Amino acid sequence: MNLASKFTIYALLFIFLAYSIFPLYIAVSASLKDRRELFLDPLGFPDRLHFENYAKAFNSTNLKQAYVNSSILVLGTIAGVLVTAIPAAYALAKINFRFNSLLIGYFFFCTTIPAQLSIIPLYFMFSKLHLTNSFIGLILLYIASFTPFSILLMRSYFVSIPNELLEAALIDGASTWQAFWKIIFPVARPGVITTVVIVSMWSWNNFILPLTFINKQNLTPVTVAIAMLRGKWSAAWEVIMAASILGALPIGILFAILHRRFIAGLAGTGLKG
Amino acid sequence: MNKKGGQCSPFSKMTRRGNSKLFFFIGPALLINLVIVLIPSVSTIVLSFFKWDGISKPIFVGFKNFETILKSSDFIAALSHNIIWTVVFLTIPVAMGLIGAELLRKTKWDFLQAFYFFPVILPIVVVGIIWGKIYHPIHGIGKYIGVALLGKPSTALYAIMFANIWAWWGFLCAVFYSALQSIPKDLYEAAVLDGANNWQEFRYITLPGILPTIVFMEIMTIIWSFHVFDWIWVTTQGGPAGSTELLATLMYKKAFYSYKVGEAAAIGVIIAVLGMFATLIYYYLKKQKGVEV
Repeated sequence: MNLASKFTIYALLFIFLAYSIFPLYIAVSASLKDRRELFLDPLGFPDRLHFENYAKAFNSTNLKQAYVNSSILVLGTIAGVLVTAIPAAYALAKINFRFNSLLIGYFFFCTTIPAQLSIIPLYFMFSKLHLTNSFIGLILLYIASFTPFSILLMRSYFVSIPNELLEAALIDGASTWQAFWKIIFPVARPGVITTVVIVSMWSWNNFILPLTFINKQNLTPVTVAIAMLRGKWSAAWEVIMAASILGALPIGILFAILHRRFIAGLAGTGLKG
Repeated sequence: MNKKGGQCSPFSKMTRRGNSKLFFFIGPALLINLVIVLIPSVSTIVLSFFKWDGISKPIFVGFKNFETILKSSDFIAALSHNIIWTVVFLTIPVAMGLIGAELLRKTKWDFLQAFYFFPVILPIVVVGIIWGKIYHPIHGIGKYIGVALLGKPSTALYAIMFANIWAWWGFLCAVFYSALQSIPKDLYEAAVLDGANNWQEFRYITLPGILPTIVFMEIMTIIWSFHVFDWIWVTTQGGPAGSTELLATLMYKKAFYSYKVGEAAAIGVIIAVLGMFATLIYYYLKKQKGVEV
């Protein structure tokens, strides 16, 4: 390869990198300025670092409560998804039954239909059942939305477990349950972790469902709380930026630690959920 | 799929023992799916044939909601914005993803993948607000270019698409890069020995090698483009003057702001039908043209 094309290649990769990082730089730098500086020089590097914006974002908004709410939602959703999706994924991978491939097709189909198709009847149904303004209601919606993807993802890990391993365990007199927990689960653990990571992200990031099903301020998760901030703090971009960064932080940290799992889970399947 | 695995014979006896255990495994997932996904989705189809304000008794009106919707200028505008959106997302981010993946392969700098992917996993609410700040006429680039990109009907949709591509192309790049791994390395080595240039390597090895993945992502792009909601809602809410209204936001407003539940359901059905149409194209390509996934 000649020097010119080598240079072009690295330049392109660098431009892509700059495109990816630039908005994050804007957000971080804005979150550390005071209001005067933000007005005079909205895009430049901050003169002095005003970390108090973060304290303000956390304490004088309802972000603290929203953090608690989002955490409850994420934990509840993870528990629900694991309890329902692991056995289903296992059955679809390792049990031979009549509707096996039909169900796999159905769950794939579910990953392509939008929340919009079900949200209207769901809203009226949940209102009747007093499941609006309820964490349980929202967690049920999340579980239903994320299980099809989780089943397909974990199934692809379960399928790759050699049958000899299972047969040996069964010959030794293990029950199906024991075979599942002692043999399958440890081998499929990477798939389970990937699912947990992705489901955490989706349930933390979701917006349209809490926007529709939660309208009490003390119950709003982080995404809705941040979207609301703009009305109340419309002039205080430094606080809004600090709150936004705080809102993305848990997922950002998770990604920093486990980015391989995010990429394997999402890009490996080509599905967005 | 994996050669070692597949259906397991020792477990097939379970079917003979009756379906109780099987139901125990799949039942919970299926039940919650039935109640929260399938039944409401079917109900939406039913609702689209009724006139309903959400409170009083629904009145059956046949295809009237569809007629009203298809004749309304709001819907036509939203549909055309959605079509622009789809065409842009079928081309620009896919091209960026392909270029990115090919360059990562050539340089082996795959650590960059994580940086490209990072915007994909952030909450759309957060990144939407950040882009709102970037475009802001006083607190963003608007101050320097003298245009409020989100405030002008002629630029707002493109400004949101530019922001969404930022949070999207890295996903495609990772999908294509992961598909590239299955192309045998010696194909590239042979091509280099034969004196192939970068473009020829890309055109004759990479592109055919990952074509099924590209087709799959293009089809998914069509489906997803009609679902876009969050990006619009946190930046412009469809404004200014309806210039960024998409089908999903129009449906949402009709259902929860103007209480035309039947019309909203009709839009929901149209969104789903467009998605299924894309799925049919996919199965056609798979069957007729032998594009395998």
